[in-house]
This record gives sequence, C-alpha cells and structure tokens, in this order.
Amino acid sequence: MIKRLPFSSSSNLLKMPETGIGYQIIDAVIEHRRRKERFLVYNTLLAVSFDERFFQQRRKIIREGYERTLNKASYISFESASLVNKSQLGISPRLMMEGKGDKGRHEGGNGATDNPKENADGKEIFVRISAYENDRRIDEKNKKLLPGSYTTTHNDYLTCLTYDDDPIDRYALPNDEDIEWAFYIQPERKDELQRGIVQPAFGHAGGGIEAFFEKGTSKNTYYNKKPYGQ
Amino acid sequence: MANDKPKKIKLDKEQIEYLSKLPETGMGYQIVDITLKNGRKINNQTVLNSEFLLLENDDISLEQISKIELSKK
Repeated sequence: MIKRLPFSSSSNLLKMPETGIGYQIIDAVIEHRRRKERFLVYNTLLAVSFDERFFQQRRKIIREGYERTLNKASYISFESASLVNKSQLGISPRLMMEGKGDKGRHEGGNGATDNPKENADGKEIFVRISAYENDRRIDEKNKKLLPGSYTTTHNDYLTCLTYDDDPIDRYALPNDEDIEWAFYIQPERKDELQRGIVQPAFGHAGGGIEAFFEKGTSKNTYYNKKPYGQ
Repeated sequence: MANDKPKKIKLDKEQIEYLSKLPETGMGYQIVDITLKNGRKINNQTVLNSEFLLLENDDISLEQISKIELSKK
C-alpha cells in the first residue's frame, strides 16, 4: 500500500526524528481501523506499508518517480503514529552503537559466533538468501532451519534491497552465482541465535547483519520461499 | 589465457550428507580441508550449499578425495 499523508499527519512526523536519511519507520493506526500497522514514510509524506511487499512497492516508486507517485497516491489519515525504536527493527542496541556506513551497512562489531546467544522473540523474521532453490540448510520436510545455519534479519534483507545493495558483498559470500532465492524463517521463542555483523571475507566488505542458529530452529518455523527481491 | 574462475566439483551424496550436518562458516558456505587419497592436504577450500567444492588453484577430481573436514578457525 502506497499512500499520501495529509498535512496534519505530515506535520506530526516532522516533529519526530528520522530513522534514516529522508525516511521514518512508524507504527500507525489508520483512521477507522483499530490495529497498528507499520509504514516506511518518505519525506514525511509518502507512506509505504513496511511488510513483505515493501520492496515491490519501492521498485514501483523508483520506476514511476517520487513526485508522480505522490501525486497519484490517495490520502490516508493516521489516528496516531509513533516512531519505531531501532531496537524493534530487529537490530540489537549494541549493534546500533556501531557505525552505519554506506547503504545501511554496519561497521566494526563482531561476527555472530563471537557474540552471546539470545532467544528469538517469536515475532522477528529472518531471511536466508541463496543461489540454490534446493538450499540444503532448509529442512523442507520439517519446515525448519538445520543446525549450524546462518541467516540475515528480515530488516537487514529489506535494507539490502532498499539500497539496491550487492548481497554478495554485503554478506561477504564466496559465490560466483547470483542470489536467486530468499527463505523466510520465524523462529520460536525457545530458538537460540547469535547475532552479529558480517566480517570482511573473500574480498568483500561485509557489513550486513548475520544470525547464526547453532541448534537450528523449531519445526514449522520456515514458512516461505520467494525469488530474491520479491 | 588463464581462467581465474575456481573449478567447481559436485560432491558425492555421502559427502553432501556429511557436510549438511556440520555448521556453516557463513551464510551458504563452509570452509573445509581436503585430504586426497595420496595423502596430500588442500586446506581452506570453499564448499557452497554443502554441495559444491570450489577449488582455487588445484585441478583434482572427485575420485581423488579421501576426506573432507571443516577447517579449524
């Protein structure tokens, strides 16, 4: 959903800090609806649902241009809106203390296996990108991630797509093949992970977020496979 | 003209199953040490998807491989 915000909502957002250059990520209640929805708002005016279709919508905006999209978009009003804390975006406060460089990449910090274990919160989504549709770390039968597997966070995946970043360089992968697939995993609370910053390797800079699941994830936590970027 | 692209060998089923049970080094890959049947060791090679061995400089065949282990960090 791509919507234009009226003056009142835009003015409210202007009073809040940005999440990144030129945008804010907010939780908002749309008028006459009761539940909160998450949006990425460009320039306090153009609100895009921050969900799994976000990248498609963003492509549409790039294709059509910001001004044209804004002029075409119908209005939506928020009853309330609050800025999403960066900690709610799936990046730990510790990681947020590291510098953030070009294309939303992180600088410094440790790789995942050098950081302490944490439990998943049952809500956060992780994405495993792969050149292979038959990725061997995905247990299709039990719908889970196998022990000893890496993913990135859904948030970092979206950031990678938002900036049209090169996933091979961001996640310091040795592949000479294009990344074709994205596997979606939502671990349960009992599932443990270690979270960190991808360290430089194979001549690539790294700087993406990585999550290592030493014991894998519980059954039925793998729930979707999509072509990369869709 | 030299081809800089690493040679890619598809491992056999047993090796794939073995590596699938071992932890990854990074998303989608493992760094392994290979022992050949003649005793020679080739260290720090990359395996993609627990399935494809990438060889940077060595021209060996699947039949020459005796053992694959994860490289020690």
